[in-house]
Amino acid sequence: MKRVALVIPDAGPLISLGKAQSLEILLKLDLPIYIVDQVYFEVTREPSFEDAKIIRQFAQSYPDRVNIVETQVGNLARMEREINPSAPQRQLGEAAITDFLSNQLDKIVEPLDPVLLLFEDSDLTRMNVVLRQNVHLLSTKALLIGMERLGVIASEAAIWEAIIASGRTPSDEIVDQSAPATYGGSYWQ
Amino acid sequence: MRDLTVQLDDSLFNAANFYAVQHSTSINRIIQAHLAQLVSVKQPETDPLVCFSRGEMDRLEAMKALNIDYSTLLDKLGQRGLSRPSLPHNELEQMADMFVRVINEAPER
Repeated sequence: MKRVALVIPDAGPLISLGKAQSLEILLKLDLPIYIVDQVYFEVTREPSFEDAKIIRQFAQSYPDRVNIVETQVGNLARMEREINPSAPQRQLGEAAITDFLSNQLDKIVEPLDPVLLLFEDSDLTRMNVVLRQNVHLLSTKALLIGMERLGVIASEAAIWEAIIASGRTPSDEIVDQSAPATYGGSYWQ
Repeated sequence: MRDLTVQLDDSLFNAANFYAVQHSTSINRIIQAHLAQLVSVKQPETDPLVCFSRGEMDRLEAMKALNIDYSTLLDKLGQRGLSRPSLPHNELEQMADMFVRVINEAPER
């Protein structure tokens, strides 16, 4: 297994790849995968939802590869749920991500080992963060493009289209033309 | 912005309301869009789905505006035939290059 950590601190890529029935492609990278605990809770908390089932099954099927990393925010949120199951816990995923990057990252990787942070493209368009030299932001789309270049998937376009197609109704009624690609700019270091 | 009261037959209102719900929009937005097209007035886009698709609204804003979760937001984008927001081509290329380089250069455990 390579000494690179793939960290998923964002629900978006899990939901997108889950919708395309493509979460297993992440295993082809031969990397340890880490999902932040509060993010995992948020994407699996409605057990009847198809996405939740797929993501939970993925994590449970590969416990040696997929690790749910504990954060202080996630632990506190879990304790709160135990006391008050209906407590509103909005935006805690983002707090858990910050907690993870600040306090937990060094516990799972060696100081200089590369870390890939997988985010959804729509979030990276407006993200402005400063990261350590060995930590890299990666979007879902860039991951797929890179995997095609590495020869571990046949077609990034096919998976991207599968994500989009998963949301279409059987009648596939199109009422708008496709919008142009985003040119909002993004910034990272 | 002016308020306007419009009288509609019950059947037309019900059908329009059903269409609006199905397409994550409102009767108000449909009427505005049709009137703007009729008189060739360009309207600023207010539909959260379109704004999200164009990258003019982030995910959380769109989810809040439509009161839906991210999975449903993706479903509705697909149902409307709208693109998913993506990074500009050059940024995607840089990111994909970095990713390939990191994977190729990484030592084994």
